[in-house]
Amino acid sequence: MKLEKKWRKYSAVAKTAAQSRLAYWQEMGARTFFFAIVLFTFSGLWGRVIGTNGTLAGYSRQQLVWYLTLTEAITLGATSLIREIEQDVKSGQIAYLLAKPLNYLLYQAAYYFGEMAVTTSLNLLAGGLVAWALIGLPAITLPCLIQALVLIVLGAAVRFCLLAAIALLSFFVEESRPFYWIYSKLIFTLGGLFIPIDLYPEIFRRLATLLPFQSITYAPARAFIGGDWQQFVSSTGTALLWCILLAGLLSFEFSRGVKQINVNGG
Amino acid sequence: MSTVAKNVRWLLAQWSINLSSAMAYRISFLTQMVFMLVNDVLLLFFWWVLLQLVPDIGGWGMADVWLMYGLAAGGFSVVALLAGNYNRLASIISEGQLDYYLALPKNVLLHVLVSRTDFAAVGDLLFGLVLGALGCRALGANYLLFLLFMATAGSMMCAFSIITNSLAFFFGRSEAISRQLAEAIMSFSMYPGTIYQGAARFIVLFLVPAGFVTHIPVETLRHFNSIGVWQVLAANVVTWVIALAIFRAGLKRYESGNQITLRG
Amino acid sequence: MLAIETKNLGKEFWRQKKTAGVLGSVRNLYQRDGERLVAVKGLDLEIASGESVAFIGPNGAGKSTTIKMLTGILHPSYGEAQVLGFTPWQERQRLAFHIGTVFGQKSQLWYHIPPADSFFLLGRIYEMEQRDFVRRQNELVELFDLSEFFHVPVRKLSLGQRMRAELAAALLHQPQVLFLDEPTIGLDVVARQNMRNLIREINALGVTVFLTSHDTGDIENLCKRVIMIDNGGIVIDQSMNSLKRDHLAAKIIRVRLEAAIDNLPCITGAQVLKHKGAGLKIALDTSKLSIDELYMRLRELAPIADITIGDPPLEDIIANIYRHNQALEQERRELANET
Repeated sequence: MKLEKKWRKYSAVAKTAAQSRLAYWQEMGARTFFFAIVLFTFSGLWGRVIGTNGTLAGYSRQQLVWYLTLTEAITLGATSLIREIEQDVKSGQIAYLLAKPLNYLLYQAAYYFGEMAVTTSLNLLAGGLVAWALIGLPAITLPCLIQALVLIVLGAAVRFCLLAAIALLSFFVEESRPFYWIYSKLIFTLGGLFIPIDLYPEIFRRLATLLPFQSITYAPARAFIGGDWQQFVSSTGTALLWCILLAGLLSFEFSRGVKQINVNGG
Repeated sequence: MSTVAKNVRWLLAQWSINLSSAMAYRISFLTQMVFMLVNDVLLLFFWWVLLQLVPDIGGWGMADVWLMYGLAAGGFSVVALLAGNYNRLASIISEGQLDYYLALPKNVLLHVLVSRTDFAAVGDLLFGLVLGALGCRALGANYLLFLLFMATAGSMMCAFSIITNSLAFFFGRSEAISRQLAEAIMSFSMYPGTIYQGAARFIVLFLVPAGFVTHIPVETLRHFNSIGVWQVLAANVVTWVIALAIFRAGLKRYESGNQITLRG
Repeated sequence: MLAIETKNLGKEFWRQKKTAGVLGSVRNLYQRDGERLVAVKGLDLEIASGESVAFIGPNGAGKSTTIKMLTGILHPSYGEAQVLGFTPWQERQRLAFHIGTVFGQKSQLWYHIPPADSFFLLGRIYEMEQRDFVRRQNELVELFDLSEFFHVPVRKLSLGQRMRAELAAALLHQPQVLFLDEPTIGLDVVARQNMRNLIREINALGVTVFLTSHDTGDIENLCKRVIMIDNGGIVIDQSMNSLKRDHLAAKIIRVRLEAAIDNLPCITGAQVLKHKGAGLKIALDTSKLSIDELYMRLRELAPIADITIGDPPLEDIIANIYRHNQALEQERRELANET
């Protein structure tokens, strides 16, 4: 069947990506070390601010540390997506890739999900162990776990669309790095990297809820430390909506960019 | 001319050459500077949000956070401007680039350190100076002490970085780990000292001595006591003694390299 | 006076065996299994001031390691060395004021700025007085013909221009010894000639030149003495002239006869390398057969239309010595294994 063949093709790409990621173990070690430092510091910070038994706007110290464990595990999930696309575009390699029986964006998506599957799970494992040692296991329920997993995958899709859209900008501008940098700052603030966005002052909270950045970090982490179904439904809805919107934008950008090659190609 | 004067003349020449070399990338240097500034400002966002929710963090309020960031950013800018290779030593060592410096009649470590200037750190310098003024609330004696602590903060970062980067002499290619270790001191410096208790306190004082970069200086600035000043100065001396000893021991084991390299 | 003197100078490296993968590198942290590599073993050198010496050997023979020990870049494992009366690794900084180095594969000049700025910086590094610096710089700019590109960023220079500037930079502080490691690598024929002329001029001014190169043209044109090392030890140390004499027992003779010949008689001492119609190329072992005798024998075949007698190229001589030496080494190893 046609669909099955396609699936096999792209899952092979994802598998290759996952395997090649494993080779970067030194980089992974360094990242895990950084991760441990962050968790270590924040467990101290929340201990100081909240105390062992208190709460901050309804969150316990344990919840906030595990929240951070998830958001960091996700943002530290390394991918070479931007570098790859940028290289393909700048070197003109993309013209040759277009000649292959592959959809370029699907190919990159498969590669990205392969890498993310490896790095995010390793980060979750390492970060989870550190958090466990520092502060103990939270009371996880099965629904929370399922909700978190679904939202991680949806968030990863949103992230892919954003990152790919940034990388494809190199069709039109010299440097796409500054846009990536802005993206990472938006994740840090409006994505609620350090604290859940519902702790933000009202205007920021509203703004953050509407934007796609919270789908990547806040939504899955919030679900993990104890979300309800209503919240899950609205988070899923937002994420899906942004996925569709951004995917549309991405394919539009791509088709415009490809036309640009033909013009330049002479 | 005295040796000191000769060396001062050399250092001035070195920094001016660094500047002309950096000017080759004028645009990227300006954008980098702006980006680093915005980055610094955004980091404050988190503390601002948190201090809306709680009155203080173990006694630290917004003014203390300003001082802390001022010292961290200012200290970083001091070392990045004057000794820009401080966190690139590991790759310079493992790629055999020390050869160049060893063939010249200057102290190798000093020569390597000053051979690069990260001019984008000018943004951090301004940020640090302004935050220091905000945190000190006046430009009096307290501000002079702030400036002193900015210098000692940079000096601590530099010495600690020399220690971690010298691992490359002994373990070969270890840049990623060296750099991450060196950045740990920066990470710890950017959180209030009071959140590190027990074993954590031991770590930030004696293993990754961020305590002497920002924590003790901030508290000394808030409630002046000469003990705090002496502690910081002593920690600097000790860290530098260790750093120089390790670098010297490493240099004896230096194995040079065979790569084709071009000067920055 | 001796410019360079070494006694039993040696260097050994410890090369750790790398095990692949995550587990491997964890193991490498505590397990120190590796092998000892001998780079230089017991080198005795004496080089007088003002000499020009070619220091040659196959790749990995220990040439660069030796230069790096003599310039204070590497510490030796054992032995002594004096360069201009300094022990390089102990008095590195003081020695550096009196020696110049050009590493063909490493640049002294800053990539993004003009040579003029790098010269200014080097002037400060070598603590030169401003007056002396300006005078010396002008001298060098003229001698090396740098004026045309002295204010152009190095990245825009051709390799030939860059190497000329490199050489000039190494001479700024008027060193007494010049270490050159592959100074002509990558240069085209004209630029190479140019570099060689300059190096010869410098040597004529009394600067001791210590050169390593794989380019036999460099060696032949620049050096009066050849020191060859292999496997970390000296194989040959003699003047260029005597090297040629000793190893030039063979002559290469090209002959064209008036008429084509079919069969060649076997002549002891003469090996026919090529034969086509009336043309012959013969390698002659002069210890077995004189040129005169060969000439006579050839004349018996047919009248000689043209004859040229030449030396085999230096390259072949060196290659021969390397091969010979490696064969000896092999034998020695086998003997050692048997006992």
